[in-house]
Order: sequence, then structure tokens, then C-alpha cells
Amino acid sequence: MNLPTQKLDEIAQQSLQEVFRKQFRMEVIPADSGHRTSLGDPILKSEVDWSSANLRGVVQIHLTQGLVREISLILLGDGPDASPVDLKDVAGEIGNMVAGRVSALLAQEGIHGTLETPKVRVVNQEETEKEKSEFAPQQHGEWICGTKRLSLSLKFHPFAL
Amino acid sequence: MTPKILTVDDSKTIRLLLARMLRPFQVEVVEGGNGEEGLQTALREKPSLIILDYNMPVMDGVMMLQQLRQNPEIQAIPVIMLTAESNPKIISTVARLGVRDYIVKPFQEDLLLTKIKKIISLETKGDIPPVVPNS
Repeated sequence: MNLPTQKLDEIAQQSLQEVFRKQFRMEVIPADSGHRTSLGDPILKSEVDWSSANLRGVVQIHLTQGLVREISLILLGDGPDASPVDLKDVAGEIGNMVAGRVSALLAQEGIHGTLETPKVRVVNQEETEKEKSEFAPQQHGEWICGTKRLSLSLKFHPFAL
Repeated sequence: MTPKILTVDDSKTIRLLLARMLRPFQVEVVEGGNGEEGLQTALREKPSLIILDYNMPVMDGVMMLQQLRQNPEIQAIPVIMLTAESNPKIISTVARLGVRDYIVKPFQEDLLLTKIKKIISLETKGDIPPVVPNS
């Protein structure tokens, strides 16, 4: 993909901030080394595949379960008539919306693709670090929402011949 | 007669969110988790409006829309697309299939309510205050 890294950085930041502001009324800011994820909090990995005529890509987001629970309360409320929801489903929808914005912003750069349905699974911190090194994204950012951490990674490459 | 809205989305979160958003109104909400379930529910319930996602397993939103338009019993039901997908080819395909509106996620609840009210009449229930929309 012929997009400079700086453009991918902008796309990642804009996508994440738009979704969190517009849908959840939450702010996300870049994490610095002083921020730490609360230990022991399980992590939900939401992954959405993207493809165009000659490229394929992945939008991957890692969220702590605490953050997903907070978002679920914002979306669905916690009153006595609130329905229980699977946190994996909430994480999937967050991934879906962020990937949708990434795809729309890529389209503004002339790169048109379509999305698949999100895949979600629970991972621990160790797996996350291992996968991160294997996944080798073109763009990776660590973010903070309130006191909770999340990350967004993007990877695009031509279809294998 | 109380209007009926069918929400079709593989995400339970979105179906619950829409049900919560519509709770202050005199409307019955029915659901489908994919296009196939959506079609079956549309045939059984004959809703006044369908809010339809695109990316779903089993049967996607475009396929459901195509089958809906081919069935004389349900072909006239208005449809609003609510999806994270903004590919122009898909937008033009569903436009040809006569969708009334296309809303891209993330979405503002007040915008969706405005679009719904353009299609069906939503009366507020007397005892529940409307949900404050996000802005």
C-alpha cells in the first residue's frame, strides 16, 4: 500500500477518536510510558479483515475488559431493565465501528475496500505481547481512555500471487 | 395500531441499543440476528420499518434486501441501512434496491430517530422520558 506511515497514523487516530467521541462520548488520548494497564484485567481482541481488489488488511483492537464493560454501560445503561450483554459482542461492535472508519478514511485516499464481520477472543497480556511481535503491524498505537488502556493496529499487504 | 420495527444486526449490542433508544416510544421492536432471520421475522411480523445492517453471517444485508424486494408480501416495507460499511458500490447497490436511508456507524441516536420519524409516526409513551440522544 502506497500510504505513508504518517497518513496511516492519522487514519488510526481519527478513526478511534471519532468512534469513541460520537458513539460513546469518551475521549481517547495517546498513551505515554507512564500509563499502565491494570494488572489482571483480561483483554478482548477484536479483529476485522478488510480487502480490496488487490490488497488485504486487518484492523486489530485490544481493549481491557474493564473498558468494554464501561462502554457497555454507556450504550445500554445499567438500570433494572437493562438487558445483559456479552462483553465479547460489545468488543466486536467497537472493532466493527473502528474498522468501518478506517475503511472510510482509506477510501478518501482512493483505496476502496470492504469489511468482514469482527472476530473476538479473550487474550492475556503475555499472548498480546507475543502476537504483537508476530503480527508486525504497519501502524500500531497505544491509547488511554479514562484510566484504561487500549491499542489499535493496522496491517495491509498485497494479495499473495 | 402500534407500529412495529424490525432490527436486523448480528451484534446483540446494536439490537439492544436500538431497543433502548426506542423504549420511550409506543413501538414494538422485533429482532433478527442475520439476513435469514430478518426475512423470516419480516414475513411473520410484517413490520412498518426495518433497520438493517450489511455485514452479517449466514445472509448479509444486501442479500436480505434483494429477497425482501422479490416477495410481494413484504416488498414494500421501508428499510434504513445502519452499518459500518461505507463502500460506494454497496451504497449504490442498496440505493437501487430502494432503501430509504443509509446511516454509517458510529451514529448519532437523534439522527436515526429523525430518519425513523420521517417514515413512521412515533408517539412518546406517557410514563417514560425520551432517552437523551448523544451529540
